[in-house]
Amino acid sequence: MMDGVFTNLAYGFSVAFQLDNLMYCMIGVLIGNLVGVLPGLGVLSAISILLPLTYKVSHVGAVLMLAGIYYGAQYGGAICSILLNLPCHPPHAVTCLDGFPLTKQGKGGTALGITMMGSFFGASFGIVQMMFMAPLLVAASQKIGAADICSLMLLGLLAGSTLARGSPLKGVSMTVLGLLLSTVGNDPQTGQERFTFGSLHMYEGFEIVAIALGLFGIAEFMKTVNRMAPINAAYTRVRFRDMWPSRADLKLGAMPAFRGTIIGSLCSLIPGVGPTIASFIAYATEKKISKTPERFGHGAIEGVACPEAATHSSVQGDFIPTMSLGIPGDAVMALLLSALIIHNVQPGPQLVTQHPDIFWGLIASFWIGNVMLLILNMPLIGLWVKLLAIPYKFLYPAALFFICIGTYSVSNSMFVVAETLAIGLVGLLFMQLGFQPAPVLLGFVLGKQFEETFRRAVTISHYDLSVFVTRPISAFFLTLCAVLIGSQIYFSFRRKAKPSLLQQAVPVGDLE
Amino acid sequence: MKRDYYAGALISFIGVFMGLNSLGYTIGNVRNIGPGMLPLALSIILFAMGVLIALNASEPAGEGAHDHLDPGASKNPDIRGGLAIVFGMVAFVVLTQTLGFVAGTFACVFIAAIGDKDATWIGSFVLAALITVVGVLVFIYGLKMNLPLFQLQGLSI
Repeated sequence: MMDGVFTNLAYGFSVAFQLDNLMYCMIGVLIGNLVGVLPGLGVLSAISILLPLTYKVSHVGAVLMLAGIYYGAQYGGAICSILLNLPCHPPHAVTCLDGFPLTKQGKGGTALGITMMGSFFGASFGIVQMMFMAPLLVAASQKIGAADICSLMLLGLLAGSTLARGSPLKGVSMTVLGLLLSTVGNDPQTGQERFTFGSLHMYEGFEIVAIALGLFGIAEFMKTVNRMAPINAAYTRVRFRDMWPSRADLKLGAMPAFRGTIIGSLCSLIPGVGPTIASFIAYATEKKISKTPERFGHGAIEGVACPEAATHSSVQGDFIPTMSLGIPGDAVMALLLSALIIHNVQPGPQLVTQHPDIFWGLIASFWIGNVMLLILNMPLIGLWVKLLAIPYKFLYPAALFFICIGTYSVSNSMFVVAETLAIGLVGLLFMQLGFQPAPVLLGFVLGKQFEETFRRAVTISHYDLSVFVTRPISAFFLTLCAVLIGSQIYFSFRRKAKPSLLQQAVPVGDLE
Repeated sequence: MKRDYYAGALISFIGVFMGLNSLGYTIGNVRNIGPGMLPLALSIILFAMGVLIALNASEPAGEGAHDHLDPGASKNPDIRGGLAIVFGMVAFVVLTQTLGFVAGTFACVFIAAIGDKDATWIGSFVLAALITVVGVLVFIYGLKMNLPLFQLQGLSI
């Protein structure tokens, strides 16, 4: 078993070190780091702009690059949170609480140094976890039938929509809307056109890129333009020399980083619980077990090390269910999954054995990418810090062009560009009404697979619906679904009386 | 409170609209699942969610703390900036098809840029020119996209 993992890893490195794959990995982490540093740009929009451009790239290169954007952005996002006090990326929002006070005390460099080391440790742990966990999951999935996958998808959808930000009811609504949107177009089973209203353009259904860029590009820009928090670049003069933490700081940050890593890796195993929740739980835990909780919020190094390590280990762990079971835990993973589908790679338990080049190449590229990011962010920190000063007024018009050309290149048609604009406008309306857009994407990507798997499960069981509760694995997932719904109802009654546990532990209101 | 009533009404409306339309497709039964079954089921759930959202209407609390918006800014999107983004995109669609890639790109970036409240004519012009050059180099010469740099043509989608 151990031997197998290392043989496979060696094979993975042979794939990832191929010149073109190495280049795509490097482009990915560079763009990711850039997107993370620049306030006002998101991972989802960066991945969706590049998605159509990867159509011509080999499937391995495409996946390495898109994945690189995701974990690369996590390194950059920390810089933005600690030095500017701007929680641009949700996983790093909680890092502002102690990161910025440290910056004001002149210890911004130390905070960044500890963050980068903690992040690298967290990421490494997450990758090792993926190396050993994913093959186990694949072995276990031999016993999994269509009905079980169906119930697992349901659990993933439910968790993704209720555990994320905002009201659970609205989250579920957005997931269901995403599922409904996925039924638009030609039904592959019966040939029936659904909801096309006679338009030839809609025969193939909605474009995933149009939905992603409409919601996370256009709607997000329209929401942010002229309302961006002012950037205070007074504290952004950080050099490599400042980043070496003192022995005392290192000692203070080591254990919290380790605890954060464990919390992050545990969170990544629960579908729907991604890096954002992991970092919040990590911060709350660290504050709770600290002997001096009063230092938190005033520049405690633990309050930076713990959530950052949690974010990174959870980001890497996020790939496990996506790559080994084909069930994405959040919107980013949903996009990555659709990238695989576009390249004619069928995601699911068979991916690891049928496409070892993707799976082990990706793991090897994680190692390469994280080392590259460490180099990019430690010795070259001065470069990124300068980028923080690029104002939003130059960013969004440039990004708008990239969205236009990106959506055009999906099928060389202006229709997709117009579709993106329309989705963006509708998305803005939903956001104003308090809906979160991420679950739409999750539902949309899983929708077609869900319908197909459901039909297959019912056919295999000779049209007996009870198969979903009589198969033990499926019944287990459905029980978890019921527990999830039950706890949401329970908490909704309690929440009316007092704020949620996380809100008590993490003073989000202090984030100004 | 009011916001959640609108939100619930919108979700329920979509549920009713999609539900009525899916009745036009074969629903089928367990033995023979028709193309209308999943859409109809989802529409019914969506309608119910809309009702629940309205019933649970509450004041928005603790939101916005996660993002990069100015806490002091107005609650609604900026009209000038928003319109500039919409028209910038429309300009790309229309002008690229009629006058070519250079005109479409330049207009798209320029119009979007003047939507910012601190924008200057010169600054927006320079930004638009810069992005146009980058766009031509990367997408037309680099990635060999099939778009004419300059042309004169009628509009069609």
